Amino acid sequence: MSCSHTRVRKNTLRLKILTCLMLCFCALGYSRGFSHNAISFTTSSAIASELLSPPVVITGKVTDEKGKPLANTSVMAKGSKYGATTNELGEFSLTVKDGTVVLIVSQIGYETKEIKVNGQGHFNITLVQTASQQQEIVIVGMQRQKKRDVVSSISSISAAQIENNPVASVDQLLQGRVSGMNVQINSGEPGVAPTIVVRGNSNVNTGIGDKSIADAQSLSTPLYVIDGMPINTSDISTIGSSGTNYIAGININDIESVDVQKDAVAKAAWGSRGANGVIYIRTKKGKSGVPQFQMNAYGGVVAKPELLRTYTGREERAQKMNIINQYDPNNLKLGSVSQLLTDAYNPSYNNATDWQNLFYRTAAIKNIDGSFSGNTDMVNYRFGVNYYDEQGVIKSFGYTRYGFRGNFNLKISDRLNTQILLSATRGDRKRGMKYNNSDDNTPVSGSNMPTSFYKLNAIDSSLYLGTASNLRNKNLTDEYSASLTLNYDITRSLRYVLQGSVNSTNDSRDYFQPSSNSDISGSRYAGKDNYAESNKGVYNSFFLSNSLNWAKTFKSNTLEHNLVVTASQQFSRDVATSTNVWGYRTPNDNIQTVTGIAQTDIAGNSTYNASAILSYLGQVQYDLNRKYLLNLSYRADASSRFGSDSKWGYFPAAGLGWIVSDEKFFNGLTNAVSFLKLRASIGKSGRNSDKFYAPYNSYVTDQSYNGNTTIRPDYTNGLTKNNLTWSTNIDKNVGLDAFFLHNKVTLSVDVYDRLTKGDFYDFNLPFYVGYDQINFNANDLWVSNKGVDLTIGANRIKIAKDLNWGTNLVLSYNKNRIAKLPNDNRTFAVTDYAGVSRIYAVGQPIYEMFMLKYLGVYNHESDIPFNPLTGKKITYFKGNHTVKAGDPIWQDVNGDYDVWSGEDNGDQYGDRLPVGDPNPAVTGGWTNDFSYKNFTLSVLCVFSGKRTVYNTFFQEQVANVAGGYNSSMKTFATTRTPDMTNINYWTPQKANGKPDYKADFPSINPFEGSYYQYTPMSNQFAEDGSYFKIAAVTLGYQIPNSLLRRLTLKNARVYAMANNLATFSKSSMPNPELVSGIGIYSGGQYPTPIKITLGVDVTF
Amino acid sequence: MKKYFVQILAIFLLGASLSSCKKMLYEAPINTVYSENFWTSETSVNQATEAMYVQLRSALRDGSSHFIFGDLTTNLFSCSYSCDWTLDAVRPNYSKGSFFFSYVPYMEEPLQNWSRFYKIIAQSNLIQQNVPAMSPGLFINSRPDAYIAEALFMRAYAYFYMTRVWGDPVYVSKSYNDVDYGKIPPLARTPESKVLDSCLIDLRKAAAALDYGGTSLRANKGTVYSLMAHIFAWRHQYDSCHQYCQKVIANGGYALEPMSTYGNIWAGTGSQENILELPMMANDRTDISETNAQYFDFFSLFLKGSLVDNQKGNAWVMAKGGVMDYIFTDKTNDQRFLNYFVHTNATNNDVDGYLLLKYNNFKYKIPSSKTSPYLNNNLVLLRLADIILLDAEAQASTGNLAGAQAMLKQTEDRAGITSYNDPTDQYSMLDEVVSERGRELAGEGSWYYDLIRTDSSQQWLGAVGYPSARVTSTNKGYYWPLDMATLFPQDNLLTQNPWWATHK
Repeated sequence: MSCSHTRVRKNTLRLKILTCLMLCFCALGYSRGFSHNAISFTTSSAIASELLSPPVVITGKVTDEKGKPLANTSVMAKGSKYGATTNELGEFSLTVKDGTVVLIVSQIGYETKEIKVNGQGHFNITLVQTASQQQEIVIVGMQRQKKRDVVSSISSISAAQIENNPVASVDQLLQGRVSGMNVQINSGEPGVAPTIVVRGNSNVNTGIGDKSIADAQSLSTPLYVIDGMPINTSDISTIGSSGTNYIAGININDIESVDVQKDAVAKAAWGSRGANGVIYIRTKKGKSGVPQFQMNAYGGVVAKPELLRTYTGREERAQKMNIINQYDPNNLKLGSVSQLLTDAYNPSYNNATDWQNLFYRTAAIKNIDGSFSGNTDMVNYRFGVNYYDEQGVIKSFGYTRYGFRGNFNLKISDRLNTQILLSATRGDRKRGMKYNNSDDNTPVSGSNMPTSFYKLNAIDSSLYLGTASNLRNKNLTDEYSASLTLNYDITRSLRYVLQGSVNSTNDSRDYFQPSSNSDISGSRYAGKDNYAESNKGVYNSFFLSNSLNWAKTFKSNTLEHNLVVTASQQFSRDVATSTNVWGYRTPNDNIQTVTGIAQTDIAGNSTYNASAILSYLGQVQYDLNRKYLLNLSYRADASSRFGSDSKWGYFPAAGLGWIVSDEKFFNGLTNAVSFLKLRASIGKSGRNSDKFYAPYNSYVTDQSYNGNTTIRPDYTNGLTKNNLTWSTNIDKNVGLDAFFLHNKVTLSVDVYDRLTKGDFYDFNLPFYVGYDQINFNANDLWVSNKGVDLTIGANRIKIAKDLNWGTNLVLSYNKNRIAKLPNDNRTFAVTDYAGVSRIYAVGQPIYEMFMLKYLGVYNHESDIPFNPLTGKKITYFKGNHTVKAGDPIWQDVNGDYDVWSGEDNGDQYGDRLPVGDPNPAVTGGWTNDFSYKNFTLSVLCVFSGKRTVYNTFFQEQVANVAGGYNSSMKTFATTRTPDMTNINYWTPQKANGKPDYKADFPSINPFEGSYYQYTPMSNQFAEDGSYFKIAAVTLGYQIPNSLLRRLTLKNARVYAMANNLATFSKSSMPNPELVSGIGIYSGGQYPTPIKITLGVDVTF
Repeated sequence: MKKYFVQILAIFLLGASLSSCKKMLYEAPINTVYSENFWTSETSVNQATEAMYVQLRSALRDGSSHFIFGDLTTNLFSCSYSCDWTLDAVRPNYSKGSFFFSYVPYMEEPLQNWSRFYKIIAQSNLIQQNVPAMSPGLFINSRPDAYIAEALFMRAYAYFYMTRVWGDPVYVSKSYNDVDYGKIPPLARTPESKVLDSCLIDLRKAAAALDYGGTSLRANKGTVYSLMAHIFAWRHQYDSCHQYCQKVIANGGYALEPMSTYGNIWAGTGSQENILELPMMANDRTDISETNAQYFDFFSLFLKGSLVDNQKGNAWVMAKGGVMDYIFTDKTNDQRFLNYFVHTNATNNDVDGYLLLKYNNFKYKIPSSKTSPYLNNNLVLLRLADIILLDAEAQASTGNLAGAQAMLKQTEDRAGITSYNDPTDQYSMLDEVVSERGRELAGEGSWYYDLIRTDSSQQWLGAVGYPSARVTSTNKGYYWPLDMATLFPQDNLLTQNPWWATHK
């Protein structure tokens, strides 16, 4: 097919394009991050061998179902030694002795096809993918296993499912694609991590009164293993200068597969770190026999989000005056109404400022990445480079990444081969005015939004925006990693594997807040001084493992025993250091670093934290006739974070599998059920302490006394004991994998029971101990998570000629319960940072809301119950408020004719009831793929159900009108009006003389005193947090072969993608997914915007 | 070759990792000290000892509770709704429903929860536990006994303070180091008499290990004897009280500050009169972001208007015609009244009355821009005038009116008044003592305890507004209620104070 001349030309072309690509990166600023070491490479000249002159020549082309050429496919003449391999265009040419042969066409991952050939000719052959990637390899602990032989519950995602999605990190793309995993993308801010919980939350955190603790520690997060190296992302966040998601450093198009390991056998192999699930990410390696260049580029827009419905100007005034007129029809109290409302002709108060509009924009997103890879007998290589740039939909936000990754596999001798992985990434994150990860994305956000009446002139708005633009907020994250693996075959069945990996995260943040900020942005920066800060953090992880792997097959007449035994020793070491300086009052606002600050106003510190884990791991994989499967694993971990009396933790696990469809009795059924495997597993895994020095009673420096620094124990939470240890997680799992109708329909079901015992827990200590709390393993703290993971798929369903349909439904059900509590199951309540009380009680889910139960409105005086003993009406607020018409109905649980959240007589829980579970019981996703000729259309929808969330945004807005902590006519006038247009709130006018009148919402009379009815006290503002989201729609077009040939391309695809297209929910919130981990909607969260991108993906 | 190379490398790495990682598995923090490496030097012991004083300072400063407990409750000061609405309700003659101190919205933590004092006690117990185990050779500047003595003093001070505010405390004299934290047995309250017995035993031990003299910022023998005198007075053991007062007066090395420099007592200048004071000067900042606002808020309770550069529009005011007029009988001569009280008109809902000027050393951190104000004073807890007047009370109570008169003469002469000449019987002598203590110690967080202590004979509590049934010795309604909603779940044997068990 080709002569050497054209090949040379082609290679030159490739070089040219590669050079272009490199220049492109340099131009995009990549060069700032890395040195210009020239990348040298040699192209292999290997290509399908030419054949001797033939009697009969058979040519053809092998493609997959979508028409994509299949390279490296083996084409053999049955019963002969003649054979060929397809080239990159899927073409082959085979010479056989005579014309009547049967061709056997085989390719890994596809069903082998036999084709009868009669004489010379050209054959177009389509191969069909084997069901559910049965031959794919997954890595369980330190063992590679074929999916068919796996006995544990593992869900996999391949590159094709996630590539080219316009998000910064792969974790977001796991949403709706993996059963048993709850991913909530609760911030649209570029470079921020979503919350991920595998098989239910097991963290019982009592520190949720602090927002930063609630965000970081309220949910149990999984362990990431990236190319064999365990990475604890929550530990990395402790150097926390920038708060950028570690996973955002990995280019999505460099990822080969993501395996989510959910049950005992897979988790126990990671011992004290595996309890909350393991996400195993593998990066791409070279595949193609000849050098292959691939380039992806996409660009698009991030649409300005739909803003919260706001009434401005005349509309706002009309609405507010309407509320006032409702409660003061005769204008008797007009004197108390703010001038803002009454003086409609005052130019200072006669405006229609839309404050939200000031900060949001339509932004751009672009990505370009290229790779260069090849695979020969001796060497396998892949280089990838990447530039990703996402502007934020809020001004001055954004995330930019420059990345490089190289994977090499060298065969040194027959017995020895080595793998080298290198990567370097720079993430540059702009965060507006934000200091911490919070909901305060704009200077006026959520319910703090001022009224539209205020005049906003050009100077004002530039000052407001200036809080974002003059403020310096530079966040850089550089991630470097290097890994070396040596595989040495000592004997034919015994292999030694050495892996050494280093991972370094260098995080920095430079922050400057000019003094002029404070004057205009109100109370949030009360001080008038400027402030400069510079933080540098380095997190280094080292990982070393030595493994021996012994694989042997014993055969007798009819029995085949396959045995793989692995023994491994591992050591990981983490060192986190940081240097921080900060100071107030730099001499001039143009000096934006910590420079020239007076001695008394400057401070600094440096920190050093280190920890280590030493582990031994044994794994046994055995099967009989590839039908009866057995996996055993046993891990021992010693951690520096365990107490001296309990240094070692032991984690056993066992799993069984039975491939029923291989049994003889099943033969008759194979047409209907082509494959059926039953699985069961049980085992232990653990969670290590979050604290580096958990086993030490660390002391703190207190205030100075007469100029001397004092030191004392940390009486807030500074005690420990020598038997501090891991928390134990016991998993039981039963599952089945089945394929029906010739692999057209696939089914995978798992039922699990996950019990967490002895988790780290903040014990509240009695006052006389002196210490408030101790964080320790609570033997009597048990959390139960039970549930079902379900995946049903169908592929290659022919709808019409050339039109095929495939679908995949992922469904997870989880029931989360506290099963046991310390102090003889003593129930207690904690109020979270938003003011919502949570109950911790046996039988309740974690973070169950614990509030007064709202039952509607007392529409008429006659509806109000009387205390039969006193003859008085029911009261609220410990007798301080006698209930009257228009008040909310709160359930009187204790029957004392007074309803409140607590009582003075020591009844600390008053009339509160468990009223809402913020943990979604049902999550999942539904994918539909259509292909028509060269077109493909893929639609991913995700959903989350049976979840209660609390809308503090609406609650606070209503509280500004009436019934809040500070509600008054003034707050009513100066803040944004809640959208009450479609709400039938109680007013005396509506109720008067209409005995049938029914209000949907209590009175919002701004003239009346508050009894705190609109603080987060009742579940009136709790809402159904279920949603259904069209997460991604992709339309692709495969460039036809004829055109490819002309363009001298191997493959090309163009596509258009729409992300976050629409969200449907029953709630009043625009997007109920934008709630914190414990279910609080504040209205200020960074929206997840609609992204529309167009892209091209070219291989040459 | 390659084969051997790899094997050697592997064995090397395996060996290297095993030996070095053993050490790393036991790696201790270097950012902080921890229990095992802290108790190894005298510097550490000194840091831990001074930490107790810091904890006491924080405990008294918390919600300005020291002044609320000791002064606001006497009705000498009034606090308007505008000044602090949560405290408006505290006053005994509160007009709108008489909450007394049962209802202090959002101030339950500082006023009805004693937990913070148990942190001081825990720190004291920790010192008592660890110092004896240290080698005496480590101590160069002081003796280990002296540090233990300071710890004993501080524990006694904390228990006595709690006893005067809340009544019977829960008595703990050991460290809770290695117990089952999920199952700590509950403890009942210990009767006041037993607690004070233990305090006196501790204080005798402490006195033996300490000397007179030294700084008034730390406890010494004079401080210990002063506290003992107070405890004896509280128990009405006035013979012993007199004995210890005399020891302090005769041997303590203290002297009354002359009237001309009276203000030095609070100015942090090391006045000879001071027996125990807590430094709250500007140099005790630890964090650059702390603007000493806390100190400002604490002392500035008493100040407003031009006195604090108009930083505040409300303050605690001694109302005209109130308790103040009752005790200041000689306003024309009393130099304290003339120099340390200033008249203020009724403004901003505050009543017409007088402001206290003891804590008026006022500064800005940045004078040019007038930002970060702070009040640069020390908090004086014990001083000679207090002990002299305590002795007057002791002698009057034991029938030695002449001795009492001689004591009263000392402070009243300094102030320029002579009302010590008036009393002729024991009752009026004691009344004169109580009044003079009020005049001398106003705004120092202590007068309320004088009223409680002397109430059985003098009945001042009723006079300043408390219903008589409440403040009987059985009802003990002069104690603050405990925040049972918070404390009871921690300790199921805890009981509410008698009056509040039925009246909250």
